[in-house]
Amino acid sequence: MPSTGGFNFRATSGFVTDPAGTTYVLDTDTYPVTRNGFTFGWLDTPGGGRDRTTFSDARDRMAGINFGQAAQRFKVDLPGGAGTTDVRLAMGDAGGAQTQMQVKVKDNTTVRLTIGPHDTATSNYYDASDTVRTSETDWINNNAAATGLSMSSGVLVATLEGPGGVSNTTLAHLFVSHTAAGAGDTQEWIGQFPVMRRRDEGNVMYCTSLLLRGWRLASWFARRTKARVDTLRTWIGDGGQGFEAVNVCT
Amino acid sequence: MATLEQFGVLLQITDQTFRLVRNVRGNATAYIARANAGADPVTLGAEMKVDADRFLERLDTLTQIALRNQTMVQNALGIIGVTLAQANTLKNGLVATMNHVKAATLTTAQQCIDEATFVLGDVPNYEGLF
Repeated sequence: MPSTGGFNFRATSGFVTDPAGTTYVLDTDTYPVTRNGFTFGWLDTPGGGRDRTTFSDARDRMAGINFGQAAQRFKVDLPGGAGTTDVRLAMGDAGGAQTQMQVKVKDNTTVRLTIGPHDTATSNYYDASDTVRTSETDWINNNAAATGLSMSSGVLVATLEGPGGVSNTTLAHLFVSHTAAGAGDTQEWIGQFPVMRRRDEGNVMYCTSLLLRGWRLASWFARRTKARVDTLRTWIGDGGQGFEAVNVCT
Repeated sequence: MATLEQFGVLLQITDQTFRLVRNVRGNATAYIARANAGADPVTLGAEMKVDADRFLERLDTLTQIALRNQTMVQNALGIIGVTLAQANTLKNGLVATMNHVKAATLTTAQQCIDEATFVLGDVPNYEGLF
């Protein structure tokens, strides 16, 4: 099972009640702080934190911000160490428009994801797919994750960049879902079903189903061949080591 | 006479120890508040156990660093008259407390409160300037 946790950046812990599975991060939360199942914190003091708006619902993830422009690093120790991480984030500010913001998500020091640089209007947020969401509600309903980020160091670092050092980057929310590559994390090719000839809207296709063990292998395969993968589903789950069936057509 | 390096190491050790202990106590206080506020006790209890795991990882990291730099740590602690054995006693106490949390049955609000209260009674309450 992946370890999941959300980090809501703001200035005051009690400003809102954090939605389930998330916790607050203050600009004064110097690494290491342990809360909500994660050890995390700022390695470099950010420019500051702000409380913005209370929503009293899931949007409280974006009730505030921490900000910086000098590549300040926010570190998260990933439970279980090295593995693969899905990330969601909200780069923006309920309190005002922002310019030239950029967040980088790193495997300790190796960049795995870059968002921006972007300008945003008030209550607009860029998500982890580098897509702008035009309100807190839009972010909650439609934000997309960056999936399968390799975290071989077991440490995720998000940095607040300010290209040119002229403006602050505001980070409202970060979510991580980490699956550690444990000793028993077997990755193997189990088998393949016979190739079938199929007609789809007049086109002849050849399809087969692959049976894989281990979510990383299946996820990797899906990413590499996404144009041809019909489905990717866990067939039998057994603590993250499930068999997965992947239907492939070409 | 202590060297500047020894003072630096001492500051790092005390900073890490102070912050970990205060983090543990701060969380325990927050658990009690959340239990009293009606938080789902099963979720809260699970979170308490996961947090205990994270603290054990931090303690293990600190221990590994101390073991790799044992002479330096010993000399640094010596500045304030603390021996490695005494520091180890503190660490073992924290480890025992975290393991107590992990072993506890935490499925009701009262159980969560009782366990958090146990932590507050077991972990030293260091006074600080800030």
